[in-house]
Amino acid sequence: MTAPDSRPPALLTVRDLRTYFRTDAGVARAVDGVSFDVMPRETIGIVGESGCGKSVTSLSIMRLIRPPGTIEAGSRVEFEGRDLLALPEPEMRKIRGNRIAMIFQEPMTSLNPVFTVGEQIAEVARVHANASRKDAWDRAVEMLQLTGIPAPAQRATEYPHQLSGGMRQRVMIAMALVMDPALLIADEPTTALDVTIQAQILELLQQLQERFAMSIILITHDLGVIAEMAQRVLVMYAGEIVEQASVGELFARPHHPYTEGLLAAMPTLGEARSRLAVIPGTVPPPTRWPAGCRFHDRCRYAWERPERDHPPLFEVGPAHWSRCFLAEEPQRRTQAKDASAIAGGSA
Amino acid sequence: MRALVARRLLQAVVIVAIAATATFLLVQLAPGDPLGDLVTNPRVPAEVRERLRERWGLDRPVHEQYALYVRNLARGDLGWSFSQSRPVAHALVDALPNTMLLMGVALIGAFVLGVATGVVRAARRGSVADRALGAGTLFFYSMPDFWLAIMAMLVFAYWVPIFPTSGMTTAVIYDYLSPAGKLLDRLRHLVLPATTLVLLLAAIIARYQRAAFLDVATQDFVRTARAKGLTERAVLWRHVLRNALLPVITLLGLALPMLVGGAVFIEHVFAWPGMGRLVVVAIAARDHSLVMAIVILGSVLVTLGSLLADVLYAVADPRLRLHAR
Amino acid sequence: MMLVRWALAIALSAAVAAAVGRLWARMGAGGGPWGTALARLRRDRGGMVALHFLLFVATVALFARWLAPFDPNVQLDIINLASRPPSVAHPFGTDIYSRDVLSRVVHGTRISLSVACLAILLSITVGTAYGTSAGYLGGRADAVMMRVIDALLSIPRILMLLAIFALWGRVSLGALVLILGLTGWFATSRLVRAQVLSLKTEEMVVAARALGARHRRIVWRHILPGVTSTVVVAATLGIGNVIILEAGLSFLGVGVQPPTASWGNIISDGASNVAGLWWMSLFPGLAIVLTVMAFNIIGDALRDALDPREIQPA
Repeated sequence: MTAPDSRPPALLTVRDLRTYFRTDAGVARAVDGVSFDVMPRETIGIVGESGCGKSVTSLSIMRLIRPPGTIEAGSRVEFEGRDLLALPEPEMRKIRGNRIAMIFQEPMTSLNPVFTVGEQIAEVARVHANASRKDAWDRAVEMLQLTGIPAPAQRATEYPHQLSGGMRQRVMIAMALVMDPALLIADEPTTALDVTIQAQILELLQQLQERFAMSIILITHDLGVIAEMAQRVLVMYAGEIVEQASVGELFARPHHPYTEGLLAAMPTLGEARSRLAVIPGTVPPPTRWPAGCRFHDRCRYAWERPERDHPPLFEVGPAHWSRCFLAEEPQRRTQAKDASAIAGGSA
Repeated sequence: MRALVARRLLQAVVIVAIAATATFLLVQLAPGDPLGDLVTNPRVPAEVRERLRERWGLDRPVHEQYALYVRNLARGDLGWSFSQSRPVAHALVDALPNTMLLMGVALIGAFVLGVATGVVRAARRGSVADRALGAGTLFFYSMPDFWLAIMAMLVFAYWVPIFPTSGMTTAVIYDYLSPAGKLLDRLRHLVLPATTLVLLLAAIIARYQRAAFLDVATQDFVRTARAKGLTERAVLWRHVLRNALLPVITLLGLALPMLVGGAVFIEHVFAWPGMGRLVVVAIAARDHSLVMAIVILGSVLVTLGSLLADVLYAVADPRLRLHAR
Repeated sequence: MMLVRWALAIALSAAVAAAVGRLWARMGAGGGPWGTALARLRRDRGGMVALHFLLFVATVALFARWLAPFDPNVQLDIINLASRPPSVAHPFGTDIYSRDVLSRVVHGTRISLSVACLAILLSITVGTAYGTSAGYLGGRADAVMMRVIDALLSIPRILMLLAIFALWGRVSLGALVLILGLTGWFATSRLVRAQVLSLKTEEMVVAARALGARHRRIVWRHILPGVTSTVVVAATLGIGNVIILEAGLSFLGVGVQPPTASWGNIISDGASNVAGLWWMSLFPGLAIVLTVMAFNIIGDALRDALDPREIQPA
């Protein structure tokens, strides 16, 4: 496998990360050999359909995988020069919420309903900075102000159910940034919000990234969000990275058929919904990834080779990798197009 | 909050009224004479019987009797206990504190033990401790109250005589004890009945608590708490438990009927001079007014308990607290 | 001779258990919620042990006359055999009238088990009918019916039973079943109603109604099958409760009347002298605890397998 170049010093280095869940139905290889780097101050996007392993990847970095899931031996996650997977749990706890923070998709259920939002933000400062009750509370109010919540001192005393969805996500962001983390993992931060609020939250994240000089891993199924926020993109499918490139490169020259499909499925303004191209089929269950290329049964170009062999990542451009044999047999792409054109023409 | 309490109080009054009416109908439907033994006792002159009938309105039509019954109940006049030869209310006033003491101690003990067991089981789900505690919980959950009481008495009062077999105090000697000695004597008498009730009730609470805890432990905010870098202990005991205690408050309402039932048997076995023992004695004597009064009092207790549980729930859950405002 | 009979009883119950296991496995292969539940139950070791035990208890109840070494009501030798502790001839000892306690426990099994089963059958029938009516009718009728249930549930069941016995005095076995059954359906009806309310809105029923199906047909074909699992679990968990309740009433002297033996009144017979007659409390009590535990284990397993929501015992 051709590992991506790491231009040192990367903030986060993930190598051959494998997270498996041993269930009654078999071993679910939710994340299966994922490698990537995150540079300081960089925003990296991870896209894919649900069930492709993007959330499990982020939880693995935080070591928040619960039984029956395990991070397999041989996986490596290095952060600020330390091997996170080798750290004892108390050391790892000092990193969570402190050097690496995380925000989640559902700001309603991700906040504890029986504590005020102020208490929940202050808790981070209490744990990591040993702050006094008063200092922690002041810090919480300050953080709420930073995230643009009006009347922060008042809001801090309220409970999650008293806030709107967008406000709750601001609280989550405030909670994540209390300790000025080097890395923020945002797992579908805007999916549950309506469109206008989405834009506000994304803008807020950009401002705060500037201010706190942090890196962001942005997990989403929405390529539009990626285009707006990220410098680099990882496309995940069936527990693997299938394509990796800078945002400009990926949108201009998608290589992997799956990425092509995702881009084609992206709604653009003014386009009628009926014309959306949809990738046929669904993600297979993680206990039974197909042999060979895991995408071959949904791929319009598939031939014998990907059915038999599992493709490695090929370098298909500057800092652009794709897990597809089309890299070696590019003529198949045009042939398939011609064939479908003929089929379409004759129909 | 005040509106909530008022609404629930009104509901409670309606429920108790229906329960009291049901009790009244039950007496009307029953064969035999409400005067019980007095009718068959040849030493009671017919004249006295008639006077009693008139006094309690037993010679009037049913609807008038009902009106009288309601009026008396509302005034707190519970009638005359023929077996105790004194007003029902007096007998209850003597017995109620003893039962409340037993039930209060049992309630607190059972909630502490039950919640702790449930949480330990849930936190170490699938471990040896979980399974052992699960088997123990099921064992006590499947046990008749009176049998556990008898076994406890057999082992700890007869075979290893460290506790007294019955009563609230040691007869005769008690009067000569110092105040500290008196307290100790009472405590020694309390141990077996209270422990029996605690074990039985804790088994029920532990079953609910484990389920509630596991339910909360899968929610998203628990993951958030872990992502903040909290210790597992802080996650479980602060974030999970605070939420998992909410459904247990509801259990308070369910625990009371069980406690009342348990009290009947345990007071009977240990000769504890409370309401449970009183009702068994009253049944043996077929003392209807006393039995009915205890039934109504029992349902008042249960209704008040569930009202209290609702109010506590509203206090503990900020979502309801603000709604109720 | 007696040992051979008991060995036969154990063999018979084991054979029945094996047959039931095979049947479950076959039904499990068929799929569906019940199939998966039974297949899961079969894999549950605790559940299978409980099933074996219950079938053994049922065999004892069924063949009480052949399995009891003595007539349960005969005073064997009031001078020499009264109040004897356990021995080879009388494994559970004898009572103050020199009756064989093992024989009384064996016959008591028959009484206690049949009273509990019949009472629970009555409870779930009435509870299902009431709950289905309330849920299906809805509106004001539902509100009134449920308020009545609230009130009835507010009276602790044991007090309600004691009140009934105080008024009616000692009753026959049939009346005991009736009384236990008719005081045990309140919680079940509430449960069934909740289930019916959720089923009522389901498309299936809505569609059936739109097609003009008759009410009776909707209830029988669409609503009742939907509440079966709830009712079965409530009944299984409820049997244990009724066994304990009957034992308690018999212990207080108002349940099963002597000389007929039931688990509760054997304990009651020995309660006047707990220390001197410990075997009279211990063995029937163990019979109660183990049987109730077995029902609860199966009820829990069924609940886990059929319905993740909490179902309270009937």
